Amino acid sequence: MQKTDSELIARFLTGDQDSFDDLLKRYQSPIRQFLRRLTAGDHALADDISQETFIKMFYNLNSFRGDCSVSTWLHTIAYRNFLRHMELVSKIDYDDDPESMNAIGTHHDHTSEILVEQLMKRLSVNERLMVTLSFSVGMSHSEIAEVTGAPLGTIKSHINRGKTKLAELMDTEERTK
Amino acid sequence: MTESIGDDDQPQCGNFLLENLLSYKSQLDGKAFHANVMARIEQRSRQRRWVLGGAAILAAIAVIAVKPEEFSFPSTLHLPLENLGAIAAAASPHGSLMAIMLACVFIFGVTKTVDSI
Repeated sequence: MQKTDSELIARFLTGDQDSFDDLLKRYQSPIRQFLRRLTAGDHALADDISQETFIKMFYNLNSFRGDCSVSTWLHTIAYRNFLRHMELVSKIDYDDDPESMNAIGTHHDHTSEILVEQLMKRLSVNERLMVTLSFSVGMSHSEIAEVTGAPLGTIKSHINRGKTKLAELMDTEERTK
Repeated sequence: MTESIGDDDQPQCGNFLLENLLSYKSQLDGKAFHANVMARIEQRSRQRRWVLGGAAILAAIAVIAVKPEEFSFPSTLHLPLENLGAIAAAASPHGSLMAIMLACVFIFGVTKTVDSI
């Protein structure tokens, strides 16, 4: 039977390193995919921030109080690492240039993941964040508030704006096919 | 497709298309990622050991370098630390020196550890 997160953390704190391996295996994919969405498809950068997230987890598991889920806690660390990275390096293209619409329309290798990452480039960082946490991770608004520290009203408005933009982009995408 | 989100705490059911589009389609293969994370943790742990060991050596060198002939600093304190000063004075000069050196290493180590976290 699969151990719960709490059991794995408890075992890790008694010196069982394999428990950390299990936690890493369990959460590596969602955290990496979350950061791929935030970085709008920069996989190398997303993996680098993800690694830093799990290293922080390794050194901070003893201070995890358990007042939120491990998933929420990890997403919070990942988001803060992402913000820190953005402050240090302005490597990501957050340009709202309408020309980038064409990049979506003329992309020939339309697997849905590539399409989503292209679409994410058209959203602001906050819209990307809130939409991903809501629709991809499946978090409630209060969980999103825990991760981002944003008020509920702000979260709802970012999600709403993100949804509207995505709907318009999808319509454009359909029309150009 | 662009209906507004309600005031409740959960995304609404009408968002099915968007949920479907945005859902994570597959589990990413984590072998290389896992190996990288463990390697970086090992590397960081090694660095920590070197930093703390280096700090201990530097602290020892610094204390020995500035050591006065008569090491009586703690016993001359006239603050609330008087009792501590009396205890330190009762100890041998080398004992006091070692205590201060260990305190330096401890403070440096704690600061460095907190900083790395």
